[in-house]
Amino acid sequence: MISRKVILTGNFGVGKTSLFNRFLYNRFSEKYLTTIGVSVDKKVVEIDGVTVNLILWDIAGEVDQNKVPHSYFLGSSGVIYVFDVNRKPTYEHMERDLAYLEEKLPGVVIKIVGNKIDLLDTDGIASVAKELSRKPDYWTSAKNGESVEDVFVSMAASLLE
Amino acid sequence: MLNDNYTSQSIYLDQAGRVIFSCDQLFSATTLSPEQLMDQFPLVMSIFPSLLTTPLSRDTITIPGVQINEPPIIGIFDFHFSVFGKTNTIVHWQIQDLTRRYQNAQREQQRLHNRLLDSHVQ
Repeated sequence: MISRKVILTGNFGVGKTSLFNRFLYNRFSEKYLTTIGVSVDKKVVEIDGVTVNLILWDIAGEVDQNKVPHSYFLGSSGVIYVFDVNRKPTYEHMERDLAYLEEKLPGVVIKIVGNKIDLLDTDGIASVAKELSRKPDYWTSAKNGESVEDVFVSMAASLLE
Repeated sequence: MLNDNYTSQSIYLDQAGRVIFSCDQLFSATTLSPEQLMDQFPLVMSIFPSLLTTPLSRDTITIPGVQINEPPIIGIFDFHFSVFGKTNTIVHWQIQDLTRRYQNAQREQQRLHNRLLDSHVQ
């Protein structure tokens, strides 16, 4: 079995832990509980007959990615960069954050995820999309589960390419 | 080093992840197979190959604030890794139980984040 480490990162309060919990345990809580440090768990997914053990690191949210302890990046194959579609401060520095991650983790697969879409209508999402420097790979709702599985399965598939 | 009281455990692993020695202060690692150990600590599983191959691993690498919610240990810990030897590589893994310290920090952070999130909503 192939094992790959994937980190979830981004600003605080964007729903990284909620995405982590939705994918791993299919659960969601309305209550915001801040993450301190890092939580790690794993889930096996199958991609075209190949079994991949995804080891997910749910990292405490930081306003600036250069505040994330560098040791958290060790051995990473993938990064899921999460922002909250309802809070501009969580995506206005996306380009700076992604450039930093690409420099520190050359060659890793990065997926950009706009979360909490259940709080916006289609026009609202389109409006946010226009403000972004890069197109998100997925628009998700950890609350209702929309596209959450797709994020992780597509990450696993990309890691096999 | 830290001045306040904390409990810690030292575990020495060979290149295959077998436990060579453990003081078993926090949990019984001595009897675990490499597979059992890595299964219980996916964090270690995910970085172990890198520890053995990354030049950085010649220094101590600290993974701070590791939250664990299931046995064999529950709490918030710092993991320190040091790698010794070129041919017969040994990994020293030290676990420091800093639960109380991190819980205090977490309460502070929760208050700060709540305030910031509330100010956004208003």
